[in-house]
Amino acid sequence: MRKIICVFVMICMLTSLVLVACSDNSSSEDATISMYVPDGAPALSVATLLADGVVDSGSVDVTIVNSSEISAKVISETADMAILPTNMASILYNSGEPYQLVSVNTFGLMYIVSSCGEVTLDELVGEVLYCIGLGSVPQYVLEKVLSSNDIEYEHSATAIEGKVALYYFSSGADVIPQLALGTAKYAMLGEPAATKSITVGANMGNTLEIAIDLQQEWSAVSGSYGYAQAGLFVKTELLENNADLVAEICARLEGNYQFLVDNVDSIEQLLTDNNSTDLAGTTFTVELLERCNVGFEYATDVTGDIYSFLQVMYDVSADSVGGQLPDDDFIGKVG
Amino acid sequence: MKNKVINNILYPVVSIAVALALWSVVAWLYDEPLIFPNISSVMSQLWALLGNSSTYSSIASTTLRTIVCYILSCIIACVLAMCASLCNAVHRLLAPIVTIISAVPIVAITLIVVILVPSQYSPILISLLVVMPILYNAILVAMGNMQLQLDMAKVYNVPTGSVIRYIHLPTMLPLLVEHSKTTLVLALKVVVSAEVLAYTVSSIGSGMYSARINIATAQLLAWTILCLVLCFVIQGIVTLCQYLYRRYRQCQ
Repeated sequence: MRKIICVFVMICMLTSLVLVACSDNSSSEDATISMYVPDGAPALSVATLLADGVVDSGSVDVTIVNSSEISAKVISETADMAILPTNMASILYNSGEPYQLVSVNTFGLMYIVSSCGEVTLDELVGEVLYCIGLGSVPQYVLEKVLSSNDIEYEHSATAIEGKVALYYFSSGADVIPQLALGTAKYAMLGEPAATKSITVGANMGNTLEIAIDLQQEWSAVSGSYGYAQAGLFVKTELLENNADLVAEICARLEGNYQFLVDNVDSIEQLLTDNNSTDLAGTTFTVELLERCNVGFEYATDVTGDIYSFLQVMYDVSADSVGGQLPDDDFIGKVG
Repeated sequence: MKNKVINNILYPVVSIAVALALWSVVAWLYDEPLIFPNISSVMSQLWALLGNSSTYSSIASTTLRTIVCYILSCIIACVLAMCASLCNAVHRLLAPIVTIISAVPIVAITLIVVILVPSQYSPILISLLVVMPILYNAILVAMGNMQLQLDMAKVYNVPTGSVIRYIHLPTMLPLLVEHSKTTLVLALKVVVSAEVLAYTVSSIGSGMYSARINIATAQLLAWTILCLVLCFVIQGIVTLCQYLYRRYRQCQ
């Protein structure tokens, strides 16, 4: 009898665990909608809404989260809107999440920092290029640019004759010390890490400079400056039932870059006040903002660019866009 | 015999069946394949992985790293423990370092080593730093039990070579064999987690990393199952070796 009770109690405990895991906080319907944005440069693309989320027909509550959490916010449908890398948006769309891509907000911010002065892509052959962003947009852009220029590459920590050795790290924080110490001669970094590496290098007596703008190299390959790195992914239901609110938010985001330039001295404070850790301590300048390539384009206006960019990633790995290119409903129309 | 069947087969089968059933129920209730995939999608991912030749090279390279790490750990731990038992100063000098290395969180070791060492080798070094102190301490404890013999050897001026051959080696070898099951599995776990953080090319860790970054949870679980199988295979081989070792000892 006791055994049976034991087993019964165990099953009850497990079931309750399951139920707790499944419980869902359903959001109440009101005019305040939630927006989630990954920490780092994407947070810059919605800075104006962080400062003031109130628009005519409601308000938007922007939360900066760690970039690894952002997909969970969409999968659980906690987010009414979220800034996501376009390929991640494609993965989530293809898996049936009821969201659509409404705009593109960042257009690439990858740069090759050199400790050996000016350098061209061809001169990287036979060298080790320290990189970040394995399995995400930076890798696909870099490797596409290299292969389009007929430059061979391989993932390796040591130099290979006739090829560029790509040595991937998890974040700029791992690469910056190596650049500053001189262990790494060349590194591909995103802004604001690239600028930070120059400052850190200067403090250690090592002169670094931004030698290659990958967005420019990309435009030589594809014809358009920059690439659709991240955009605004909006719940379809919201887009259908509250189109005015979405349109007003988009209108605000159109003016975001001007807001950044006007408030260049207080952006860092604004972001750290909103729990950004990645951008804490960054000294923003207009040049740095320019290099971050934050902007705003309606997805309907740049549909071709979005799909050609997804195609590039699909060609490398179908998994990176969710197994297939998304259908036409992926692009959401505002208004 | 009947008891053996119940204990070794019935109970494990029932517990795994219950776990799998629970998994299916949760997957069904949760209905978010990206977060909680159902068993069939994990199995189809596993099948897809098994049909891909790069999976095997990943498994091979991770296994190789684990074995290299284990052998290096054994050698270093034995040499250090021997030195420590022969010379008290070495023992005292090593003690704080070993304590520090075993107290530092594994992830801190990983994050530091990843910057310093190329990604093919960093998982080996990280795992070594985790496994070696465990072996070293175990050997030291065993040596402590042999203190009487070591003292006798000193009194009778037995040459160091003979001390190592007749006291140290017979103490250490059975110990290494005995500990090999747990330490090899631990080494494998640490190697895989280090591979994830170090982005080691063509490894189980990098497979898990790319599955995670593409939100392919089913694929991530498929890699986990492969890891589990690898663990069982390693444990099986070690058990066989232990059995053969015991037979060999009996024959002697």
